[in-house]
Amino acid sequence: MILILTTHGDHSTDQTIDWLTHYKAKYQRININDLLVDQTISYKIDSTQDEFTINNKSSKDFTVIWFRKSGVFRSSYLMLKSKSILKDQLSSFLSFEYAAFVQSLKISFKNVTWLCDIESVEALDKTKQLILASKAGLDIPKSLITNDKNCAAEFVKKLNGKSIIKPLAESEIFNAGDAKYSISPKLLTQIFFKALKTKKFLPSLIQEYLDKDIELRIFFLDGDCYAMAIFSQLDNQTKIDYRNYNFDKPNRYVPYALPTTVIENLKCFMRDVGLNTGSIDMIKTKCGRMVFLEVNPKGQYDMLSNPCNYFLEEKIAKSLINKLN
Amino acid sequence: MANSYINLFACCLIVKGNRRSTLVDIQRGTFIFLPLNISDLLLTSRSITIGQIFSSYSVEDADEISKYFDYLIENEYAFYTMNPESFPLLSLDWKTPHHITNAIIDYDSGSRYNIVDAISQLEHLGCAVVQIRFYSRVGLEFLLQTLNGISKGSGRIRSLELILCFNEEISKEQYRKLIKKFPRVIKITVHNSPFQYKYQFPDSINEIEYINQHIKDETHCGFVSPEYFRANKYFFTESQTFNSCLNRKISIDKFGEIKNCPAMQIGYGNIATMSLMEVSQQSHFQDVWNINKDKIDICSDCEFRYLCTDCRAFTQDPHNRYSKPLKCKYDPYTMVWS
Repeated sequence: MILILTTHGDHSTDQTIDWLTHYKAKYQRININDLLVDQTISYKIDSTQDEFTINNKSSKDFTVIWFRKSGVFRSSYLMLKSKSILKDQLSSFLSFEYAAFVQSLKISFKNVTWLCDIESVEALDKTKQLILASKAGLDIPKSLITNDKNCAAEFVKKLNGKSIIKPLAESEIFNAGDAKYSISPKLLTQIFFKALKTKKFLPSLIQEYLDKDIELRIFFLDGDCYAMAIFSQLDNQTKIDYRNYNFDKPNRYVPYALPTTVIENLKCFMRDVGLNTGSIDMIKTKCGRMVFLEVNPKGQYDMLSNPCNYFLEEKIAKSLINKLN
Repeated sequence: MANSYINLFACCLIVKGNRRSTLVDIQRGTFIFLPLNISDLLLTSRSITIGQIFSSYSVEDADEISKYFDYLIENEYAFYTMNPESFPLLSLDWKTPHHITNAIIDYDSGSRYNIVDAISQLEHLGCAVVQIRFYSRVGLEFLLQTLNGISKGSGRIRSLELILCFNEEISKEQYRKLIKKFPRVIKITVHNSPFQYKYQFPDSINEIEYINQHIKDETHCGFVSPEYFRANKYFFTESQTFNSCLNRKISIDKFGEIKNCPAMQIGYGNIATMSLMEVSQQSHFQDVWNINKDKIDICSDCEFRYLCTDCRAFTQDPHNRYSKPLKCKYDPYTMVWS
């Protein structure tokens, strides 16, 4: 049987499940946020067994696991409520508890085939990605992590004054009342350093600014690449980051055929990071460079499946079914 | 420039009619007209450079062509590229995991069939979109009962549209509460209303609309006009191969007869004695699914053929299954709406 770890209301999961039903595959869906509502997990620990039950189904019945989504615990009502009590102390305790629980689940899944291996996902960070991508033959942006103003200024100078600063971990949006603050890639110029008073700061990732021709979003599944070109440079609002969506006039999203060398390099990279699926971001520059930015193992494939008519939901269902055999 | 190519974005698709073409933008949901010769040129421009195109025309013609190209670039229908092979055409495949995708259920004061049972059958079929049309007044209690039946299902019906006859005993507020309780009801249309009113729920697609028009029976359907045109990927691709109204649709008329559409003559059995699954698997029932616009007389020459919704219930010649929809007033040979 197939186990799907996801969240309540994930539309992409719903659509893939429609195809699993169509092909008469057996599956169990676990909405991780529903563990606090109506799903039952029971894990008896002793020397003789290391299995547990999910809604009365034994973990041994699951031979294929699709790790679709996990990180919504922090938006669960328990977390939100805990933030109003004891500020961050309680919520951070709960986060660690939750992480330890997920860790305990992994132990008992031994002979399973993963679509999106939870271990590989957790071991993935931006620096490691860039190093492995570069080793796999992919072009990466010139990058520096530093906490020093002079090092940073020197690096930016070498890039002809054009660079971007972006989070080492994840982009975030903070809500404060009606205001929203977004931490996302931003242009960085030499003027910035002149105004900067401190000599040291929290280690930060600085990368060369790439003069985009198009952005590429690639969905990778079992060695196949489904690519889409995003014409974000046609619109000033989306030039630096296409996620500053223009809803009135959306960017053009069209199918793209990757050069075979890039496909081979991506396959090699994905093998090295231990992932059989993921959404890959790349940029094609005006001078023709194909630059790898990052892979998001649990990216929204819906945003390329629909405009490119790739039927990725069906392909994922078939991939899960193939893994059963 | 001369050795680059002009390429339409893959989501901008040319549909050739008899006298002109439409360029349908299925991403942004709009369309424009193009002369046939310009659309022919664009259909081959992936393999001919701009330079080659212009050199095969007189200076005047080339000037005219370049005006169109400028317009297409300016408005983001097309782009220049040195590598057209990197931008494959959009696949126009259409497929669905669901045996039935949409349904119409008709009900009036004379209807005697079990509507809750009918809906649970639709749920079982995985039918995502359901429209229920009440031609005569129904009470709030009956509506609640019906909707409760749906909310107990497995959630495969994803959107439900209710067409209701005006009933002064039910207030706007009560309808609003109904939608709040059953968010899968994406729209309530109240017909035969003495007033007009429209309410859009904040940050959601749900809406309530009161209209004056009295929808007495199933004959109020099948109109074809630009205001009903749809330019989107799902509809456009489905229309390539399948009937744009009836494909994977199942209907129950007010007598409980199971049909492709309530307004059609042929019934395939009554819901009292046959299941929707049984009927929908009959090959006769599925025949009309494959009548795409390219098979229909006159429509096959029309530049709007993947934008409009077909109608097989009301046609110009009821004896010809490929006859043009009766309620379409457009003539693609003269480009005139009458």
